Amino acid sequence: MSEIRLGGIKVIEKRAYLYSSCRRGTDLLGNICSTLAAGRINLGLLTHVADNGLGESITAASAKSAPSFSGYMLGAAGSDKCKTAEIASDISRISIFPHNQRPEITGSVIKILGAAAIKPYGFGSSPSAVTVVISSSDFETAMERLFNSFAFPACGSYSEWQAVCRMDEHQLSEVKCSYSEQIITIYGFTRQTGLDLWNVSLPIEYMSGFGAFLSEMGELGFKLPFLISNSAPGAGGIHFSFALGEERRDRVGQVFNKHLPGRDSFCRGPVSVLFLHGPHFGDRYGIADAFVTALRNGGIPILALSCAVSSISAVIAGNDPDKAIEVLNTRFQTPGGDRR
Amino acid sequence: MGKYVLIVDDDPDMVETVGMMLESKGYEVGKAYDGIEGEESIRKRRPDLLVLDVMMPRKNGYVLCAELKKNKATKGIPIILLTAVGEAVPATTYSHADGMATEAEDYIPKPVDAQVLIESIERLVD
Repeated sequence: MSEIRLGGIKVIEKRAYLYSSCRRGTDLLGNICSTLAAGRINLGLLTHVADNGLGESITAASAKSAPSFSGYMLGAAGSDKCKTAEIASDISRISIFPHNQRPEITGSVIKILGAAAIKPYGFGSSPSAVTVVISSSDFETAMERLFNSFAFPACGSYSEWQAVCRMDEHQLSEVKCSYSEQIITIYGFTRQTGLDLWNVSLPIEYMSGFGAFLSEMGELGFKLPFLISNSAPGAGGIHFSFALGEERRDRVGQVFNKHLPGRDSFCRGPVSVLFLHGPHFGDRYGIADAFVTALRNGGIPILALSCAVSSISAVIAGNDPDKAIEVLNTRFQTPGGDRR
Repeated sequence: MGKYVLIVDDDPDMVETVGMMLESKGYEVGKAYDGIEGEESIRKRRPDLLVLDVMMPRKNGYVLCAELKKNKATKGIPIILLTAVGEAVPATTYSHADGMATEAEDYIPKPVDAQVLIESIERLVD
């Protein structure tokens, strides 16, 4: 595998990860977001798919520690709506950037993990970064393999990263302050239309084939503005939701069948991806809840969602996200707009 | 080709957002993700303006700013410091006073108001 030059790698270690699933149509996302917001718990990562193609909705989140999710787990235990709710208590999140929407970058990460027999708990994407969640016991192997396959300007190797960058990463990952706003200030919205949302569920041993599929998508010039993945901690399968341009849907299907023959994929289009940019969303509780609640109150279903790094990426139906932006403007303020 | 602006910030989404903002205004944009990388990038190509975050690994923005302003070769590069150390944030290890004490040409609190940033850049590079 040839080395790909990237801008950087960020790591958050020793965190917890919640995986929860339910029947399609249950508001699992809203439940998780509101419970965590009420507990003033910062979300480092949140992913969601409303329908994985098999009638299930999956939501996953990462926060500081397992007790962060105790409120949600208590509610889930007393509810017949939740099908699965599991917590992995010692995970690490690794983000590499910038991906520039190149599918081959995410594809390479997936292939690297597959070759090392590391099962990712999940993936999230932001406009600049791809984030993978793994067990902390797999951290060293994953980092060594990533440094062998990607070139980062700050550190040439994993050992150099340990010596030079790890302490800084620890210091910067501690939340030293938080914004306190009545109306949440953001940098702004961007959008991408003319996309399909694909859903694929695979046994874990097929993961490398999926990575190869994404790599070929990159060679064919496709852009990958959105990808999430979820896998229950104790299970042997993995689910991917991703967006690709709808104009070459047939070609996507052909390449998918070439790398993953006989596996089912579910395509829905057209969809749009709406990006809400920063600042510091990982350090601020209640952001995801405000976003999800605003869209729900506006009658706009979220097909898939990724809150990662400092952005929120949401997949919504159709090619016109203006109504969604209008609804979100009631809850978020873009600088330059009306002042408080 | 427009003026060359280098953005140095360890938040990759922030770099992406500000980069898009500036590219849409016709600027050529360079990107670096920490202070050391920013320093190396400046050595390779002198920017017409530097947009610099404060809280970064390896070398923070205050230190880089001070070093550039002490160096004859880089003293003339206009610097805009972008920081979460502002009115919306309580005191942190990076104080507002430290920011004001730098020789940076401008000091803009996050979240960045696009219009304020563009006006500041235009004022400093034109």
